[in-house]
Amino acid sequence: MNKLQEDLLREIANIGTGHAASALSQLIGQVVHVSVPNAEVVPFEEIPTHFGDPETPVCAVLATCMTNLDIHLVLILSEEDSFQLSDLLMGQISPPSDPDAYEAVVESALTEAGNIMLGAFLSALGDFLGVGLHPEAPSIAFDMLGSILDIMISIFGEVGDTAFVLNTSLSFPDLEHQRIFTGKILMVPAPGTFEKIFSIMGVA
Amino acid sequence: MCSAHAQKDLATSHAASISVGMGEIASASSPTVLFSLGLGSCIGLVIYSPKEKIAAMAHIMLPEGSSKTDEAIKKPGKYADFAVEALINELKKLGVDTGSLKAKMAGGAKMFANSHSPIMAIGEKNAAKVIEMLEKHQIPLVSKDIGGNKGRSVRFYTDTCMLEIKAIGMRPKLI
Repeated sequence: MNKLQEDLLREIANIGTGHAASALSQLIGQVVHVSVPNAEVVPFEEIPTHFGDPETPVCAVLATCMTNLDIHLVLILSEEDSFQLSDLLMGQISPPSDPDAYEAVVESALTEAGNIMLGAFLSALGDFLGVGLHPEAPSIAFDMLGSILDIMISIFGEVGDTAFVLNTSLSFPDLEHQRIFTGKILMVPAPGTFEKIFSIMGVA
Repeated sequence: MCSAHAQKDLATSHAASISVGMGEIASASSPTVLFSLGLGSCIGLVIYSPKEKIAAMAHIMLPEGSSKTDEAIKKPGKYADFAVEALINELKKLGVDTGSLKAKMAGGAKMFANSHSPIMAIGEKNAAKVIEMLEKHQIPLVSKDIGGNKGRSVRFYTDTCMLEIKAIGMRPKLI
């Protein structure tokens, strides 16, 4: 990947996370500030250690786009951040008292929040590239960081030897107890997808 | 059961342990522990000699490397169709009698249960290929814990030849 191509991916990261944050802001009815994402191209062997202890419990939402461009997007939040986010989301409804039902509602709320954010990311990317990008039904997992990453890295393993990782943090300035969330979005292209993006943008 | 595990952890905490990273292969003799943390669709495959208490572990990522042989030869642990033979060769190098080898494996989960993406079937394909290759090399698969939707951490205790599996929200088990 050359400098121009990396710059293009960084620009995509900026646009995508900006839209993801404003989608979240509309969803929870709060102002959301998003940091300029730190976009990195990481050799895949380094990904497991790059992200920290592989046994850390995390919440991950997967959105897959299979039309026009083949892309998997994964939003990864620490378990703690995902609980905070679900509290924000649940603040708007009266949650069920039955613990199993409560868990199901939390799971569905987080899936939807992730889906809305990643959907906004994808559609912004689509607008930028001039192609329609729409996610399939989202999927969520609460599990060890390493086990979430390894399926993604396996896709990279088929494609090439580097991954494109965006680190971004979200903050809620109007909330009494200001909390900063640190989310990671992994953009995992199917074989040939980055090349397709580069050729659309004339930087192939 | 819990206290037995606690004792086991205590007893083995003095033993050296070797982490087997993605696509890697490592071998060890008793009492060294071989481990791989946070396996999702990947497979932790152990081939070992119960008699000599020597084992080799691979952290397999993908089912087939036959389309990119150059890379697969350099990193055989990454691919199910290359890893089995590489583990056998590793044990041969250590002077192990390859006639008495056995295998245990864990992993191959589908991490995102609801996803319809074809790529999510990779765990299942990994497991199927490993089983096929073990059969081809006539190595008995003594026990396995594969599939499902949960990530696993695995530790192989060379002194007892047991494979310990941990997953979030579940009791550790030995297979």
